Amino acid sequence: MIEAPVPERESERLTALRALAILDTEPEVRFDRIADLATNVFGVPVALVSLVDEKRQWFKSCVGMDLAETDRSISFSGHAVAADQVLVVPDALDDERFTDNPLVTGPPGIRFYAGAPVHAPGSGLPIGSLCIIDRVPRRLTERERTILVELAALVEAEFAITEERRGLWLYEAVLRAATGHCVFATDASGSIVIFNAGAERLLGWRADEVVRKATPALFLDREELGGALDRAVGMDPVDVVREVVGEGVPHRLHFVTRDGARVPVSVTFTVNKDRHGRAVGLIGIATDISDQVATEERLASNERLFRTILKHITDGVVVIDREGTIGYASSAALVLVGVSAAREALGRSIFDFLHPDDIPEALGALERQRNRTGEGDPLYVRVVRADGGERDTEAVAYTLLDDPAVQGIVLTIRDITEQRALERMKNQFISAVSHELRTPLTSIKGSLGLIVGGVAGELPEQAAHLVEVAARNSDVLMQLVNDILDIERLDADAMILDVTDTPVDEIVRQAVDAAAGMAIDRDVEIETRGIDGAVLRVDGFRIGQALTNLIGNAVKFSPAGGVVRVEEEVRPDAVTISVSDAGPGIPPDMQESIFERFEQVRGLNDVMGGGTGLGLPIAKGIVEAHGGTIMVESELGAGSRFIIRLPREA
Amino acid sequence: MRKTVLIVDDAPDILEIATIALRDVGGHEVRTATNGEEALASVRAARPDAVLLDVSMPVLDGPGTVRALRDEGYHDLAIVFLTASARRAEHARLRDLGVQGVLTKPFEPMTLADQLARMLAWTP
Repeated sequence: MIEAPVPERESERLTALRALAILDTEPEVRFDRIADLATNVFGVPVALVSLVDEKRQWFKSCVGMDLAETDRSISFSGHAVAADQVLVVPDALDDERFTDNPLVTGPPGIRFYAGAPVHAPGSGLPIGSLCIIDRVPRRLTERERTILVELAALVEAEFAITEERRGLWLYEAVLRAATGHCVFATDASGSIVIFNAGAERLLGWRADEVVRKATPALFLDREELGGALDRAVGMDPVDVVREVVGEGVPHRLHFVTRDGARVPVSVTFTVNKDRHGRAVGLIGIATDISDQVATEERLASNERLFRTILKHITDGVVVIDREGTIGYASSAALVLVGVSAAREALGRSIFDFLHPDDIPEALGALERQRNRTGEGDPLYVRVVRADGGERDTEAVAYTLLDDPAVQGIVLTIRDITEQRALERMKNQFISAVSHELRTPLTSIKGSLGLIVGGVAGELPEQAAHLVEVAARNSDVLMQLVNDILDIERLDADAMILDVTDTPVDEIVRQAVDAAAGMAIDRDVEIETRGIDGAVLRVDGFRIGQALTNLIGNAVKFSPAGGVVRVEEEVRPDAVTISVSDAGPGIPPDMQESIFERFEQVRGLNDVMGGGTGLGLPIAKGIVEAHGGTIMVESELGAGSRFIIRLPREA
Repeated sequence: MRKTVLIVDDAPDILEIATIALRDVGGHEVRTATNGEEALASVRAARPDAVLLDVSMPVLDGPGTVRALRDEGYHDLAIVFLTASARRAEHARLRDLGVQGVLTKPFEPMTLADQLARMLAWTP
């Protein structure tokens, strides 16, 4: 026995065979028919469609023989494939290649064999044979040989169909898988022939409701396409596409679903052509872009809102880079600096618009702002307008250097020129009013003082009492005038502190002295503890005033016979001076508000009488102006303790 | 010890109260003027022991009066301002004009004479 040689291009041949994906598949009538035909035409008992792979021959069709495959080494077809031509063996026993072949010596007992090679579609490489077998020797006429080759060609035609069909399956699988995309196709008349699952999902129609029953006009938006679609009636659908939307480029349209909803889509139409270049239909691939459109609309809406706000807020908004170069300026900012067009500000340094004296401070603020995130402290600078005028401004910076969309520092600039002028006017007014009030008050207080002093002679008891009431209230009025002046100075940051090294004991002594008269009147004892000569760098008069207010309050709210305790405590970083009383205490919900002006503990002042409601706010303002803090500890019924804490190095 | 005090103020009510405070309560002799010019004339006519001087007045104000008096050679005439300002800066400014003291309105009429005496080191 002589084995068939290995064919040329064997590995390519095997690849082509595998690509056909026919090995080890079920028998198919279309191949069995050809084999049957061969047995009848040639009057032989056996006909096979044999495919030769690496190790074996496998029969796609096997008529007249009960075998699925044999070893390649003993196969006849292997020889037909290797030679890639018709192999005729009239008598196997006479042929040295096959005499001792088990298929000859044993079942099926082959004596005659004729095989025509079959070739893979495309590559044309031989992959097997169509062969006929007989158990007796015989010859093949020339005509029979021709028929055998023709039958082999029929087998090859079936291979080609197999391959084509598999391509279609693949396309169908792709269409099925593309559920996120709406894919449809029409024939040349515009009738829908393909409507994939994505189309069903997007449009709400089932494929069987539209295929061959409708055209894409079913879901195109008539309003959107308007007359174009009407003009298109009766037109070649290919021309419709060219006319209405154009071919091969994505268009934004709306599709109308079965429910009548309009869905925004991005759709591409392609004219489907056959191999001769004739248009045979349309293919449309659409994607639902609702989310994208919604996002775009939201962004556009945000943008509009942002622009509207910027346009209408009176504060100027400017975006600068790390060096202070202006990248954006709102219209209010342009108005502030007195330029008419953005181009006169963009690209210039923000410092070009500042008063020269304020530039060093602004440079420092920019430096701080670049090295931080978020909002900085307000900066007060003068802006020099294009016409030379000056405006007082308050600028607040917000660092967004790391924000990819901004990459800058956002400045909100408020024109406070009028506000400043108003403050100055108010201060002048208050000073003037206070001065003008003093003159009549001096007369009232003086007159009452003289009467109470007995200069005008002895008064009847009732008159003496009434004059005393008037005198006491004129004192309150005077205190009010003084307090209002102080609070205004504190508000306007105009209280000038005369800071010197001042011993604590001196401050305390003066404050205690100031309250001593009232303490005697009310039978309250003022006790000092731990007071020493620790030196503070403060305005002694003002701290004394704050302390006087606290001691005055403590005396006022102490019961008769009570004790007001003034204590000092020296710590490394600060000195605290506390004033305790055994008065009625302050409700927890008022412990913060009592430091606000004209806030007095409910109900108490009526009983205790006399108070401007400004004592604590003034004390707080003075202490805070020194960098200190003031706080209260109090329990209802158990007295109050006010604590001034002053830093030692103010 | 009885002294002569010239009180200068453009507000007649204050003038009256201060007069009672120094004359009836303090036991001093009191003369009055309603502006600086009148005050100068009064001093030239008879030199008082002290001048109690308002700050803002028509014709010639307090500071102007002080300067005029010093210019006319009354270098050691005791002058005390009576100001309606409570501002310490204003008090300092007035003191810097070379006066013996600054008192604030409103004043306590029953003790005004004592305050003045203390300020000018008058022995009772």
